Amino acid sequence: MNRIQKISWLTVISLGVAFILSAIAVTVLYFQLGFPRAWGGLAFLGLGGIAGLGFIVFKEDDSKVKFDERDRQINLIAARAGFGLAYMAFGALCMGLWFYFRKHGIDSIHIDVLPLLFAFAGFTAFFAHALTILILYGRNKADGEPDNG
Amino acid sequence: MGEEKLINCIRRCRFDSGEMTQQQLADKAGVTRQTIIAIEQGRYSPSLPLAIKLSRIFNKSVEDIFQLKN
Repeated sequence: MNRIQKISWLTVISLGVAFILSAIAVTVLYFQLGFPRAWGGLAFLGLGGIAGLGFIVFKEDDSKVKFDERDRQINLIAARAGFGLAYMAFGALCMGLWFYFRKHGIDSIHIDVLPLLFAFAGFTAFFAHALTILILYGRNKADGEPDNG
Repeated sequence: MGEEKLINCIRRCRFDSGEMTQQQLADKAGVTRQTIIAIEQGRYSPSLPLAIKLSRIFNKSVEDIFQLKN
């Protein structure tokens, strides 16, 4: 497993855990306190910041070549997947909010929702990018095979 | 028209070249060992410059190493 894969694993795990915990927290707080106080559960999203430590925690490989054309290709595909999914997630969320507000006859949207939309798109982009990297590297099951195997 | 697959004989070429290891070949070609493994298993098609580099390492033509198979 190379450095990029390790960083991607950390990203997927930390963002995944942060998202799941915040969803649980918001749900639990909603039934206990109701909105808007339940939004406080989103504080768990801060755990996603651990993903940013990957570049510090995982040192560069000792090998002569650290990054080649295949790595570049995988990263490019992953970046496209991240952008595409983030765009779709952003669109879906906007449409969802639009339907919700229309259905409930609400004419205006609170300004605090805007950074949440931005954060959601960012989360999706980073998560999808890391997950795509793991999927594309994972196709090569021989990464751990012995030399000349 | 059927799907064409790029096959190669890098593994055999390595053994014919004094049992060269994947790491030695990777160092000579300027790629990672993972990439050599992926190419040998047909999971990754190298770029033309890399294919030429590999053929030069084995003193063969590109077509001696890579073939298209239906």
